[in-house]
Amino acid sequence: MKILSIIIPVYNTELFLARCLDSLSYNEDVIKDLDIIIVNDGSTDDSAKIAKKYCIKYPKSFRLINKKNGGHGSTINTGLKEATGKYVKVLDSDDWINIIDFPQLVQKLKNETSDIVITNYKQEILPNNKELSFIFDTQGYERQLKIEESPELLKNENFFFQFSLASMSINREKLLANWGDGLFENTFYVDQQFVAKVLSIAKTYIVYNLDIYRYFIGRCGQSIDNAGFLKHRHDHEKVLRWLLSTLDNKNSSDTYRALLTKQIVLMLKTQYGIYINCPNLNKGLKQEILKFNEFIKNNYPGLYEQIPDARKIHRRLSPLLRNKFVNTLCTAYKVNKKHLRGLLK
Amino acid sequence: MTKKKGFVLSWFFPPGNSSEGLITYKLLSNSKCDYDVWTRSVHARNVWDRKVEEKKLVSDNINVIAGYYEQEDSWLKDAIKYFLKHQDEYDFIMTRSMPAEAHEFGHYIKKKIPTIKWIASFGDPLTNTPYHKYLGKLDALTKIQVFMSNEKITIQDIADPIYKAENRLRNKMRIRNNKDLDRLARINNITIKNADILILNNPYQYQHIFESPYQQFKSKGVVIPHSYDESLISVEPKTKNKKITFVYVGHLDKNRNAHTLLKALDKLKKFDSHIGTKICFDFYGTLPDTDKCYITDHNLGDIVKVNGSIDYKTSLQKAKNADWALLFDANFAHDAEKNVYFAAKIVDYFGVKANIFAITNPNGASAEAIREANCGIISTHAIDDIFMNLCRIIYKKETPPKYNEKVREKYNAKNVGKKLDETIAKLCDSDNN
Repeated sequence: MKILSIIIPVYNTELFLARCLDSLSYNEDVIKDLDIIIVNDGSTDDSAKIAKKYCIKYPKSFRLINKKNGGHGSTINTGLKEATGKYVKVLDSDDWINIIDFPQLVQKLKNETSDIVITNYKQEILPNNKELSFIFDTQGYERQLKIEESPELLKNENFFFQFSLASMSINREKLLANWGDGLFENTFYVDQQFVAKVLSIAKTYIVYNLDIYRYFIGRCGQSIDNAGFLKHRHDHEKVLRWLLSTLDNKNSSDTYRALLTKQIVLMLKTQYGIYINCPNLNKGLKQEILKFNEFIKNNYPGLYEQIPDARKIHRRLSPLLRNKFVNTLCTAYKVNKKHLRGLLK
Repeated sequence: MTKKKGFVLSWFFPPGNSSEGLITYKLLSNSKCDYDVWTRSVHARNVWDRKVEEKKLVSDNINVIAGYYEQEDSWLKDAIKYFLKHQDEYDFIMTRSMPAEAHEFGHYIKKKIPTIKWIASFGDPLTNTPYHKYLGKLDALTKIQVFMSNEKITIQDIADPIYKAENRLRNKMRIRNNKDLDRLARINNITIKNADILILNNPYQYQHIFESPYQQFKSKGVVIPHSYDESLISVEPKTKNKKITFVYVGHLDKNRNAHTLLKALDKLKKFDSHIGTKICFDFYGTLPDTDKCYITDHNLGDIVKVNGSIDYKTSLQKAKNADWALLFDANFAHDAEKNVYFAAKIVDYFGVKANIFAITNPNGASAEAIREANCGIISTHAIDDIFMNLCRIIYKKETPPKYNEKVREKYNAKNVGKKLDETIAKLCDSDNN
């Protein structure tokens, strides 16, 4: 049985895919324990051609699945169905793996029994040539912990980084048993949905003192940049509403509900942040924002109280803050109004 | 067919040692036309000129007219005087930036003699470049922030905000940057509109130059790439190195530097304390002080050697003998999509068939050329990316596959010179058709 299945969603990343696959194939002793599933989501560039080279060179470890375009969620759904490893990890095709510590992770997973294995990771931030480390040692390394008995997770500021696609390897059978309909297709931000699903099934977790994932920030068009958030705000809202519906499920444990609430509050803050910073607030968009605001206020008053931007939304949308002077200066200097409005307060 | 003769304005030219001058020399010396090149004397050096002269680079079809000039104004004025006196000798003029002022000569002559054929060669784009947008200059937002932090907004501002704000900013901050950008934009505009032919050195630059509002002038653009000249490459065989040797020859500065490579080397040294016995990095030319300090502060002296400048032919030999030749492009990752710059060094490496280790944007001219030629490893500026690629080279002994000779030949100076001649012939004979 393979130890670790790695699902690699691919969509038009020909410039970065080889780097990702090279990092996995670097250590030849480890490859035999890997089940690498490259899910090509209808790429129109040479991504599939690049992937095929690795499948030919390492036929027992690399597999290419070509499918019609369906978004990040659909690739994870497909990959999970195909996976055979004891543990599963998702690796984005513009990211890569730390070749130094990775063999140790695979070795340790052989005898591991925890539902979730957490490892440290780094963000490689291109614009300022920095490496940002995410290290999770709050409870000590290599101790299997029960999520139900870890209320300190709620206070942990790094919670969302600790339980993220970059940090987690998950027991495959456990995950599949409760996968249900899987992730949304053709929808951005499904990693939040993934994390919620993982937390709903996991009872135990463990943190290894290994630095594994390399999260690359610097590719134009990444969905986490401001323009991406605005463009895909409906997807963000869709995932947020799904999380809210999950919260309504009374069968969940208290700790899970508390963790889910934490996740939802973060997403709500992001959603309101997207709305407030829309540069061109037309009538249709205003109505959309106010409708969403009413939905949260009426159905989840407890959450609503935790979002400062929500309570000030009417003031934030006021035409007084969109006066001619602001518009003129912004046009003259081609400046984002969000920055200028902030300075005028 | 009579041999054509051109008057070329090139601030940089051998015996002065500079990248731009060498590019021009290789292009013209492999052309069948004759050229008078108006340039500066080697004694009038500035920071872009390297210390070692290129005395041996002469060609029968090139007559160098070099005067002592420290400023472009007098250089241009004298060029105009000279050309007007000898204009009947020439079939065309060619202006080569940098500096951009060279094109003002072309514009002046074209206005005076509308029938003259003017070829303008853009070494680098003049406007809307990542250097202007992202590196060290005050962008519009920063200007506003500085202005807002010191001034109250008055009724007058609201009444006439643009006028008041601009005046206050310019007076208060004495911004030179706007004047520089305005000057380059003006030269860019007059050149694109009035030159008969625009030479760009790669397809990404072509797309960049002819973005809105210049799409209508696309037919003037011709991509004539940089070239390598086999006659300048020594036939001495490649030497064998005891350690895996990386070499860089050329100019590095605060924008285009080796900083992320050095950080990766520091990481490598922590991973393998004996790395100094396995690899060495030789830099010939200029290195910014920050990089030199980093080498000292992080005890990388056993891996990295910083040497002085060398002449062009020696630099080619160094690249030929190294196991890997280095390329550094500036890090324009901040919002920039494509790298429009194509370093001449790349084709020098093609010429000596060097393996290239490129630290560049994977989306752009440099990376595309290296991928097409099948001759290198491309890394982004991310430190761990560089580290991983170095590990592949050092521990897994990875080398690129064989050079794609068909692609390599595209950059041979003989073929590039031929393309220039065809462009000139088409241009000069266009009136007869």
